[in-house]
Amino acid sequence: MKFRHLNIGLALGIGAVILQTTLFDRFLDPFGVAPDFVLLIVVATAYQLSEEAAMLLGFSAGLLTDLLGNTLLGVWALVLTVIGYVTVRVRPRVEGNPVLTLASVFVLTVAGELLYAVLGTLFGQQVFSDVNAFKKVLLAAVYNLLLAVIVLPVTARLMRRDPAAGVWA
Amino acid sequence: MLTNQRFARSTALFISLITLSFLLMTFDVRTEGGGVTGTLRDGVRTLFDPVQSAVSAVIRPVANAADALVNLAGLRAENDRLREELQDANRVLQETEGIRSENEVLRELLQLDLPGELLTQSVVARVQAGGSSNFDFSVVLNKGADDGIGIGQPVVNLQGLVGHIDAVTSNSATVKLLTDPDHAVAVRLVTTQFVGTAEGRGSGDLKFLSSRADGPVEEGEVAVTFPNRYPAGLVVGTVARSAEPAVGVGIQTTIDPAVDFERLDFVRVIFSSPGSEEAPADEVPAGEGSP
Repeated sequence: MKFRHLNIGLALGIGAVILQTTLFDRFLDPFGVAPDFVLLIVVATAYQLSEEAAMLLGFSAGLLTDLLGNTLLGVWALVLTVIGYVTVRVRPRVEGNPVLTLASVFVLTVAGELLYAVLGTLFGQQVFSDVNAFKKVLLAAVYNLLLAVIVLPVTARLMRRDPAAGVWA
Repeated sequence: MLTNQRFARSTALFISLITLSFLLMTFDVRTEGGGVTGTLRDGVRTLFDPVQSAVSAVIRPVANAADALVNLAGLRAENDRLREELQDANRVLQETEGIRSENEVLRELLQLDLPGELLTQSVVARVQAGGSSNFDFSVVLNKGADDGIGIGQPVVNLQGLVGHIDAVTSNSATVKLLTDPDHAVAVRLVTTQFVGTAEGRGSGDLKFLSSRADGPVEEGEVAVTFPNRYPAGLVVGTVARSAEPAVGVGIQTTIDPAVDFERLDFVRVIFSSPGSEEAPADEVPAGEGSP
């Protein structure tokens, strides 16, 4: 595990949580839905990290999201741990193919939001009582897909992974 | 061999993190947001308050300027419309002197608190951060316990009721919004006097239920808070569609919230303790608070 990469990932994760609460949820939420920027950053960094580092990053970013938000503690931590793990597992199949990589961002966002909704409901939060729950899941995935066009290459450059093996190779 | 070891290590880490997450969730549910998890939350929020506040201060003018540019054409049309409305309003104002005295009597009848009484025991705060996800129906204010804010206090803005304080640190406070599906508020319809509950549905309209309503309600009827958790008379919204009572159910319709939750900025926190204005038990609709 390269600790330098994990440290950059953690810094990006903390920055993502700050931007999610101050920028996206308040000002950049077209049609009342914000992109799930924290999840996008976890996916983008997981493409550059080892399996363990991706899970640790997902857990840390999720825990911070839970602590700064008004949701049940541990839900986002679990969701983003799973997303970090699955992203690394999916990586060999999509690497080198931009279309598949973007499609994976869309699918992982939908999967993450749905997992959150199911877990939240199981633990007493009325997530599915939200009349726009499915609209929020799908729109957030579309926004993440659009943002991924910028975020994935920038993250790859920041982590200084070999461009030949990078997601846009 | 090495690959197997690595796989076993990452699987063990995966299981550990998932187990830890489930433990945190269970613990948070059992302690109802208090205890160690509450302390941890308060600590992290206190740590991140200045960061969120600073980032928000940088972003707000840029976002507002961008918003203004996008809406420039719409603003011109709105400006013309508002000019016409102002002229109409001036005409109406001259005709309303007689109505004012009648209004005072009606207020008394409706047991509405005058805003002035509430304003003297309140503090103005600004929204410094929103929720952490699309399913987090809360905002963070830039004032907290040091300014007299406490859990349960109602939060309003110029449009009406925003929600109530759900968590507080020394210099920030989290507001649970009316739209939260875990939130319900007792309301009274001003014209028909029907009392019921308005429950959040995540976004958009609130769900209004009144089991004791025995007549129809009309679209546009104003709903205000019924004294229990909140002081009486705070505007919640207007009935979004007319409805007739159904046998065994009463009235079921929706309320369009008065507040635009997408663009909250300045709000006022009222220092009234929850339940300080308890209504007679037989009048309080079931389900107010967190269902």
